[in-house]
Amino acid sequence: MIDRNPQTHFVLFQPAGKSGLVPHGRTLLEAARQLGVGIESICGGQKVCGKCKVLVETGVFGAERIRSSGDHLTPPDSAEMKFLRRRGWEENARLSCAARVTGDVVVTVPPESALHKQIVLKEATHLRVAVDPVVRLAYLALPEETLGERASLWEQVQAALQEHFQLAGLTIDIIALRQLPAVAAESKKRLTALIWRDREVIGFFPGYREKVFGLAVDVGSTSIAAYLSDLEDGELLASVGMMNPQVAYGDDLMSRVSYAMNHDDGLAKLRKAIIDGIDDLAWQASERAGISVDAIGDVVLVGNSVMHHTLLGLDPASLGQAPFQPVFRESLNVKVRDLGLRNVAAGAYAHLLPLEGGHVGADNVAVLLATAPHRQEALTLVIDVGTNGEIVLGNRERLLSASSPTGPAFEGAAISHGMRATPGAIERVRIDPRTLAVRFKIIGDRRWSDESVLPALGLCGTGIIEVMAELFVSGILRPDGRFNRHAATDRLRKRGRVYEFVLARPEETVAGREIVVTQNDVRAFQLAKAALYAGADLLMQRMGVRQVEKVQLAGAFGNLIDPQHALIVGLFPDLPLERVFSVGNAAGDGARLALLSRSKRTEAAALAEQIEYVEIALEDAFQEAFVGAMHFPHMSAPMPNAWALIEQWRSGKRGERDEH
Amino acid sequence: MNIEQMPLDELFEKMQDDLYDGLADEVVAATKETLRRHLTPQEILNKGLIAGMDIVGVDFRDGILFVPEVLMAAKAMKAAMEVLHPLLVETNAPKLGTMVIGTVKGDIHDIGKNLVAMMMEGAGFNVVNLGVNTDAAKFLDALREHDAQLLGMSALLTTTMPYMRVVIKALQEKGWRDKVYVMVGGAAVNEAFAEDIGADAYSADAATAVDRAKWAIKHEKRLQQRFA
Repeated sequence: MIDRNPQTHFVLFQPAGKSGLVPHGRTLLEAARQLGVGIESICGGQKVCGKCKVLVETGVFGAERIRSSGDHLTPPDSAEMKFLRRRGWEENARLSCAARVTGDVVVTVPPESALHKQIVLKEATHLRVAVDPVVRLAYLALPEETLGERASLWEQVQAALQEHFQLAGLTIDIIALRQLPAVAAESKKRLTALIWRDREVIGFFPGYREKVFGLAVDVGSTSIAAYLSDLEDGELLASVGMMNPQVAYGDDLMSRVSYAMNHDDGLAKLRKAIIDGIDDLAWQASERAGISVDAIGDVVLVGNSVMHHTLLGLDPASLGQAPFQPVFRESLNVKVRDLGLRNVAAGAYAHLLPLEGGHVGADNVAVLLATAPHRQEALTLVIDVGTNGEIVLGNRERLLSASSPTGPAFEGAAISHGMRATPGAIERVRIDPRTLAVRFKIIGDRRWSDESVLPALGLCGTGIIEVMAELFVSGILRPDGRFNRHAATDRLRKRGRVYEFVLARPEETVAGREIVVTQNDVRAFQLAKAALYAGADLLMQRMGVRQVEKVQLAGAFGNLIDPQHALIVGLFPDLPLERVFSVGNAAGDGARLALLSRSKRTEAAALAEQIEYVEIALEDAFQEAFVGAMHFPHMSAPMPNAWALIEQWRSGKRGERDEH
Repeated sequence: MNIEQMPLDELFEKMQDDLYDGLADEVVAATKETLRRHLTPQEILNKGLIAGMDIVGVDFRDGILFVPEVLMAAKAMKAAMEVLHPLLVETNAPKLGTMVIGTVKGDIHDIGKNLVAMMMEGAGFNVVNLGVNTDAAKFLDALREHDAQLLGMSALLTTTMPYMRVVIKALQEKGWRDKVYVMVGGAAVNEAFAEDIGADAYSADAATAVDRAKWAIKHEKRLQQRFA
């Protein structure tokens, strides 16, 4: 027995293992808050939501010999009894908001009731997060107004928030305020408030509502991806993507900036293009998930500096030339309606992650959140393969970042038959190094082209990397990137003074379309991959290291970049294959993390401050590093791991990881 | 065959091939061999090195060679020039002309511009390379200091190329516009833009730049004026 004040009882919460003394008569929900145990509650103790269900254990527990029993709680009243019966819950289930402590108890919080649920964001990369969004729902039953009562409707809301949720001093969004009388009238004053950061009421829903959703958007120069999640359990409900509509004003970032500089309404058009695009994706995602757009209560936006500035309507001119000064760098909360977004709850905020420096923007901060090199001992190189390739080198000690203007080759632009990673895009390529037989696979089809004629339309990013690696391994491309005119294949044909490779003959695609890799395509790819390699190389020189322990390849492609092909073409400095990991759209993952977790937003702000941005084009060694990396796999670096793999493939032996 | 026994035309051919392949040591050896045979440095430069670099330039333009190969060739050229240079000075061999070249203000990219500079040197021009992020004052100072006839400006970015217009305006204000042949290039630049800002020439690649520069020196008599 523990010696203590008889007016307190010992309460232990499992599986958290948190325990302590709780005053007699406290509800279990209050006890949980006191002891730092998170339990869900939307109705704030009004026995409506049932989110706060707990299980009361019977027996003697722990070193303290706690004698726990259902009798050590106040018995359920008729409302709770009705609730428990209706749901058909376990015998020992109670509503923690209703059960009051009258003796020692051991209580289990089932996973569905736990606040800050740990969820697996992404199976492939074991990405986990504790769900703790910035918005929450609060169910309120407002009293009928009586004669002589002076309280306004909003004061009644405030009183209810204070009474049931201990939330005081909240402000209210003007749109939410305008919604309030109609919502209250419609639902007999039973309504659910949408609350932002426990500080502001940003919307109302009639009656009891238990779901609110969030949209995480990765605004890339070439593609935009949006992810709709349930903010209670973090579940991903829809992923949608589109070509960035800004592409109409220029392929790369600089042409967009100059469009803004050279046209009076240029910035307005860029802004409208991107906002309309996000709006369109919000609508598509909500359609796919079967929810109303008004139920999207929070938005996170990430993008490089130019995307960030143009979507905010900030003049990007200073980002167009050295020293690339941004107008604004910190993280930012802004009303969606001020951005011009319509397909989201009108009172909601959009959160923009901070920028790092130069062209390394909020998207790279998101990549860092998802790949977390700052939490690792191992010196890690994170490469985000896109139009504006961002590179991070570091570990928990120090982080460096750089941007490598790779051009849009990796995203299918600037390549003759390039395309976005959508159905029909060739994403996998195999060339037999001995027979030079070709086969490929497209997005949205499990078959290979040597089994059946596929509806292939073009090459996407992963396909481009693979075809270059395969052409090189099979000797059709020379190390200097020139087509080898002696290669024994009739797919190689002369055009002008140079050669080109027919990847798909007309009879090999459903539409009778030829898919060709030209000498210029190879050159564009060489520039792009050399820019990434040089960026990594220069950051390593700056850090004073000759090798990294780990490479993480990110990119908003339809499928993961294959580490083997990436190693062979020389996308990054050589290291053993087993230390190369492909992590998919890390910027999108990071945006989702920031959407689901407040602490990730704090972490993002700290990361943006901590990271050291390096302008690699100004480094003395830049030209040498860049030019040297243009060969396959490299002109002067020994690349032992890449060559071992190349030799292995050339001898006809491929690893099991080869067949996807 | 040992190069000492090689007939002269074969030796020049080999020099050009080795230059093409970026083999600096071999090019230097062939250069020394031609000197041993009492050829004039001017003749060696023209028949061996410049002729070789012409082929490199054309093949780069056509996509047969790429940046690393051209830089290697230019390095080999440079190594051979180190042998020839003192002799050329001695014999008072005239330079074709002088070009001031730089990447404009706000832009920090210069690999393409460096290629042009090397090809121009390879073609027999005197080249003053101002590097990146060059403002108008710096261009103008260099033009006067070196009595240059040619001004080359490069910009990779669409956002920085408008600065070329600023430099041309500065030339006009000084009254120097007629004394200089202004050539522009870089990833973002095109013929229409060059015309729009009042440049004299646009070149898409290093070989074309060399051709235009040679043409200008030969035909544009106005370039013989000196700066005040």
